[in-house]
Amino acid sequence: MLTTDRAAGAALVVIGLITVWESRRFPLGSLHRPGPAYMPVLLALLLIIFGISVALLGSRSQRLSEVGWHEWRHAVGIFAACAFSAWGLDHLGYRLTMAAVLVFLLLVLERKGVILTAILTVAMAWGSFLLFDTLLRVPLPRGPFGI
Amino acid sequence: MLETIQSLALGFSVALSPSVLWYGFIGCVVGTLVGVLPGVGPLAGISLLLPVTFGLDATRAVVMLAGIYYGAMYGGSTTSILMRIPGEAASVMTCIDGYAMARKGRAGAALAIAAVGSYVAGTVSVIALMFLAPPLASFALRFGPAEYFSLLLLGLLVLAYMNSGSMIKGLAMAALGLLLGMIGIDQMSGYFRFAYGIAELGDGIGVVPVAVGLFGLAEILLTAGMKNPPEVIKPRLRELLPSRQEWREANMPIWRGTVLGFLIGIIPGSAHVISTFVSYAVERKVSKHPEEFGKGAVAGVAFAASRGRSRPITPRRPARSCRCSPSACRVRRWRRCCWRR
Repeated sequence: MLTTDRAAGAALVVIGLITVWESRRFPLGSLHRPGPAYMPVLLALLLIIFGISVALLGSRSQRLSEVGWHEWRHAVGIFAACAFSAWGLDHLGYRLTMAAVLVFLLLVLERKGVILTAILTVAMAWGSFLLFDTLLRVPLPRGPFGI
Repeated sequence: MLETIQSLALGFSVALSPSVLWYGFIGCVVGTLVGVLPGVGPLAGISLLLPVTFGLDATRAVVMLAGIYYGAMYGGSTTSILMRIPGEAASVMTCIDGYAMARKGRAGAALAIAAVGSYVAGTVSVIALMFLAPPLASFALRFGPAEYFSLLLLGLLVLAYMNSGSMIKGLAMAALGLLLGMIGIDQMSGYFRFAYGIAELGDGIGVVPVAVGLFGLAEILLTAGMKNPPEVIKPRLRELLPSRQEWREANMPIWRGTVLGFLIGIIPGSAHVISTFVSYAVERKVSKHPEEFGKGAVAGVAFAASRGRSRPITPRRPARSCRCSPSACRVRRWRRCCWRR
């Protein structure tokens, strides 16, 4: 029976194992002269132990199948917007990325009106750029054609 | 002592002139507006608004920057209480009870208590600093690696203690947090750990992005699991102010937070971040209703806000008194900011 705690414990164990695997690139050292991999490996082992403990003691927690994901579209949409922002800031620049994200969040996800979306998008994307980049001289990323 | 009082009188005569007060007021307003932006803390606020002070003389510029600092700190409380997004690391604890109060329709009361707590703590710590700076400096210099290690260990143990649920889960999260702290350049060997060629990760992941990200992530996942999104509570104007009972509950925590925040802020470095959690646990321990902590306790908001605000003076205090950096990272950021100008 897969419960939420067992899933969480398994996730912790996986993170610990990945850390141990990735730490093989660095010298481990010894207790007296710890290398750069010493602390990550130690913490990863602790994480594995805690993960196993959480999984073993997690039989009474809520079943994973009982967790309702009624608003999952919102959650996925927000995560997708975050991922797009991280990519877009480097490739499209601040204004275009913010405009695209705001249109997606307001119009597609929140189903707001077109006029309200347009006003908020322009005000937020271009207004914040004007305030921070132009007035306060904080260099924000620019995209194609310097936009 | 007499010299201190004379200097104090001179300082007040300059600071209380109408034009200087005006700049202080503008700094507070602008700082609050900037601090309300999620993830923008007081330091980032000052860095952003530094150009505003370029045309001013030194006195007005310093007063305005101080106003921005305090305004941004209070702005951080606002996002912590209303949106559960901490503006800086020290506001993390304000999130817990402040947001819980907001969910109960007591957001206005939480904001008012945070504002009064901040005012009391900020004022008392400034006055105390003026009289106690020399002995504080000698004490701060005695704080070495062993003491830092002990404080860190204490902070981690308190994390497990604070967790109202399973202790194993608390310890697992502490281990996960430390593991995230491993990302970046290893200070002992110079190895680039877990950065995968991304230069920005060389500095590691800051506490603020982690706190903002994880609180936001948790909120998104929590909302995703709800059948109906939470209703927006619209309280009456009268209900925005704290009741007498709430003021009574907030009174002692504000004073305890002020004293504890002042004492811990003496320590150079980022000890105040660890101590935020330690202090919260101490307050929960001395409280008559520890079971209310984390569920919208007035004492939790009052203590966290005042503890945080009695600290703002102190990060500058070690730098002034001991000539050592309170946080190398902050200095780096500050220099980077000045260099850009």
